[in-house]
Amino acid sequence: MSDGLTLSIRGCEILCGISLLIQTLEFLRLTSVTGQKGVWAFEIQGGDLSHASPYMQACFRFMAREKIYQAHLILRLFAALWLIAFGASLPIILFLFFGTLLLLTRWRGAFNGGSDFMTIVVLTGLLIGALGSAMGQHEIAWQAGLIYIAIHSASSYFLSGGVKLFNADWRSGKALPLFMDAGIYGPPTSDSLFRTRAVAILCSWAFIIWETAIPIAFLNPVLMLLYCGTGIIFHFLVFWFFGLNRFFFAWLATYPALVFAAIHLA
Amino acid sequence: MSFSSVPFWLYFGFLLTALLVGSRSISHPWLFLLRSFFPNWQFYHALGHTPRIYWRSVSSNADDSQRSDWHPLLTHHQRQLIHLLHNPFVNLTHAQQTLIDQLANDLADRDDTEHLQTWVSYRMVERLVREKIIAQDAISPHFQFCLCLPHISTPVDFSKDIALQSPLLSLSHE
Repeated sequence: MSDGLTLSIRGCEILCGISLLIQTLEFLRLTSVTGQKGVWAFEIQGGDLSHASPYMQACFRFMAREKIYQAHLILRLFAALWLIAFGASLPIILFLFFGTLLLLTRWRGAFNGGSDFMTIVVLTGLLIGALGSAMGQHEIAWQAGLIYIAIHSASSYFLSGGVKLFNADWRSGKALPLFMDAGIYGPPTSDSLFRTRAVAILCSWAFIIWETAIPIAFLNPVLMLLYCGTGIIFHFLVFWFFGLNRFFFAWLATYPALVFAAIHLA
Repeated sequence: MSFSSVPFWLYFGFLLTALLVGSRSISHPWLFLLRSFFPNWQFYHALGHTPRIYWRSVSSNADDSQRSDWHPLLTHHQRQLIHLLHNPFVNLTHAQQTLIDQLANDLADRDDTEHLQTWVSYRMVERLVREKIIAQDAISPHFQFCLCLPHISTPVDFSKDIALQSPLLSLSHE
C-alpha cells in the first residue's frame, strides 16, 4: 500500500475520530433533552416510528431508555478514541456507523443537519474500507472508501456554490447580510462591514467562486492542498458567524480523501 | 489530469444540470428519518420565509387584556471561541429551530390538520415552549404560542404572519 494511501486513511480516521468525540461530548451534555421529561422524550418522538413494525419499535424503545442511551454515548466516546489511536477496525466502524444512525433517528433524522450528513458520509467511506479490508481487498477497498468520501465532499461544495450562483439574491450580495441577521448570535452591528454593499458582494462572490471551483482543484494535488487550506478558513468563518462548529470538523475529516483523490487523478 | 478523467467532468456536468433542471422530492417516514443518506448539500441557498415561534402568557381564560405581548421563543447566544470545541447549547438551539421548521413543513404538507395536536412535531414544539416559559419563572397559569412565517427580510407582522395559533394551554401540565 502506498504511503499516500496510508497517510490519507490515517488522516480521515483521526479527524473523523475528533469530530465524533466532539459530537459525543455535546450529546452527553444534552442527555436531559432526550430524557423522559425532555422535548425529545421517546414517549413523543417515538411517534415518528408509528409506521415501523412492533419489533422495530420495541428495539428503538429499548435503545432510547435513558441508561441505555447514556451507556451508548459513553461507549461511542471510547470508540472514537479507539479510531483516533488505532484506526478503523471493522467492529469499531460498524458500531460507530449504526450508532450514528440510531442517534440520528432519535433526533428525527438529524441533530445538526449537514454535519450529520457528512459524518455519515465519512463513516460510510471508512466502512467500505474496513469491510473490503476484512475480505482481503485492502488496497482497492480503501481507495474506494476514500474516493466515496471525496465525491461527496466535492459535490457538497460544488452544489452549495452552484445553487448560490443561480440565485439573484446571492449574486447581488443581498442574501449574505440577511442570513447573518437571522443568525444564532443575532444581527451584526449597524456599522458592520457586511452591511456595506461592496463588501457583501465581494464576500458572496468569493464563496460562490471558491465553492464551485472544486473540480479545478483536482487538476493538481498542490491546488487541492491550497483549496483545503482555504476551506479551513471558510469553515471557521461559518462557525464564527453561524455557530456551526460541527461543520468545521465534519468537513475537515474529508480533506485527506480530497487530497488523495487529487493525487490519484493526477 | 488525463483524458481518462472524462467521467469526472461528466459527473460535475450532471450536478450542474441537476441544479438547473431541479428535482422532485419524494417523501416516506423512513426517508425522513434516514435523510442523512440523501443530502442535497444546499445550505442558505435562497431567501424565504423563516418559521418562528412566539409565545405569550395568559393569566385569565376570559379577559383578553390579561394577555402579554408575544415573545420570541428562541433567543440569541453569546459568541465564544471555545464553542469551536464544545458547543452543546448553540447546537441545541439549531436543533430546536429545525424542529420548528419541521412543524412548519408539516403544516404545509399534511392534510390531517384537524389532528394537528397529535402530530409529533406539534407535541414536541408545545413541550419546548412550556419548558422555555417555565425556565423563565413565568407566573401566569396559562400560555399560548403561535407559529409565524415572516419573510427573512422583514420583521414579523402578527396581523398577517401567523400560520398557526395554539389554544390556551396550561403551564402546569400537558
